[in-house]
Amino acid sequence: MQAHAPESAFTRTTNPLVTGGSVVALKYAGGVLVATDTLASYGSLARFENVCRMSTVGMNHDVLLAAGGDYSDYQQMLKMIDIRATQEFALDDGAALSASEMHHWLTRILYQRRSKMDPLWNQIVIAGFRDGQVYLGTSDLYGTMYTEDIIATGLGAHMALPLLRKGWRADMSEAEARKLLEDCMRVLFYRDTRASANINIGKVDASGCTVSAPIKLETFWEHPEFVRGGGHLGNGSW
Amino acid sequence: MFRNQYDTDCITWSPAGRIHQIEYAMEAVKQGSAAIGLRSNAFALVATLKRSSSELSSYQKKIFKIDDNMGIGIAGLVADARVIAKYMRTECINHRYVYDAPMQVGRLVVQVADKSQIGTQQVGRRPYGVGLLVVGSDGTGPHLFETQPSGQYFEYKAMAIGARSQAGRTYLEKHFEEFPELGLDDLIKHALLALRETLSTGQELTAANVAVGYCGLQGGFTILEDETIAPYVDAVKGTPGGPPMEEAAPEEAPPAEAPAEGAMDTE
Repeated sequence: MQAHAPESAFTRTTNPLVTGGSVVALKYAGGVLVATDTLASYGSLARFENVCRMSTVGMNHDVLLAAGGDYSDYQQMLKMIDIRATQEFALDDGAALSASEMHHWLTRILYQRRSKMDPLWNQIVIAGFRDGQVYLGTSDLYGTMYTEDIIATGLGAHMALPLLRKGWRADMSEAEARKLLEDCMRVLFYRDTRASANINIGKVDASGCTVSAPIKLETFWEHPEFVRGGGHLGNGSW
Repeated sequence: MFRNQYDTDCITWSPAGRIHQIEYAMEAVKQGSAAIGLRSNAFALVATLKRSSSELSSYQKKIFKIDDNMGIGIAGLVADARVIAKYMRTECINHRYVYDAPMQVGRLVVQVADKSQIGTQQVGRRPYGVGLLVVGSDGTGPHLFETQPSGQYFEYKAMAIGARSQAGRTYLEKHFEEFPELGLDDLIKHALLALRETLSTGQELTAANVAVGYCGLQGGFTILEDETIAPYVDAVKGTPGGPPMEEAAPEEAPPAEAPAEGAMDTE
């Protein structure tokens, strides 16, 4: 398409360049945990191995935003949120966007951009805690949004979500939730070629919103099935 | 009327440092019948005194719902108030579309004030001839604001605007310290008593000429008028105080009640 466009023609982002992979998140008793790996790929090349794909945002940094998809679009989104937070700080009236309000606002932006045929190429996950209520929601580049107890984007929607459905309970402790989340990220690292074993875990609870330093997942490659491979199945599968 | 060569538009200063057109607009607010606003820790409330132009006409509505969490009471030109109310409603509904949450009352008041100010500084425009008491509640609790034609705005614990509102303010100044802890019924009672202070000689509160709008912490702006305000009006009837009755001495300098012939009606 672009090859036929005249030199002066306005062109749009029709495909993402540097991309992040899955975001996996779940609620537990009293909070939310969100995980992303630290890889930003350039096509299939593992180009940037130590980037963070989640951030505390908003005037009080009490909302967690994590993103997959185009990394530069995610950075632009952070910039827009920062401008909005500065305006809100200047108003100085004691009010600040909640996670829910932030989620709806970003979704309107995502939808507006997709309607201009110039989408922000991201899947985002937003988590927050206010007035004793935990918030966890997600939106995609089309402006589709929903809230859920468990969320996985990208390839994680296919491979982590079944694991979350099996392992998740509303009354999970933080330690249990962390274990389940790490298991999901480990499986994604084993099976998703665009994933890495270095992950950030973000936590939102009554005490606030934090993003951990990167941690390296323990992996074990000597499983008999890994060693034997899947060739004997005759369908190319593992 | 008192005219001078500096009062034909808003963009001409008088040598005394005044902008007469703005002051005339503020005068329109004083000609409108009173509106009383007050708030507690749980409610924000506005009460208005309505006028009817004749025995045959209905009473002019002076309280407008803006959104589930917000409403206004007005004094001055109703036509101008309706323009502002429409703007406020549009802003609120847009805010709900974008954020799925009600608007901060104070932030909308700032927008209204900014909009009002534009009319005081541009060629070919005029200030709004109406003052608002904006009541509502949001994440930071119940609020009461006043906006003026000049573009000024203030937040209050209790306030009165419109004709003879000084008497209403005097009542509020005497009682405002007890407002924060009061329940809705007591707040309404105080609002009606403050409103009663603004009545002219021989006039009295009735279910027809009083309306109250209130908003609680959970939102739900509600207007009480006619049969729904009647029990409250009856309840304050025996309370001492109020306007001078027939036998009482008339006010020392009765304000010019009737506007000049051909002037627009203010409510």
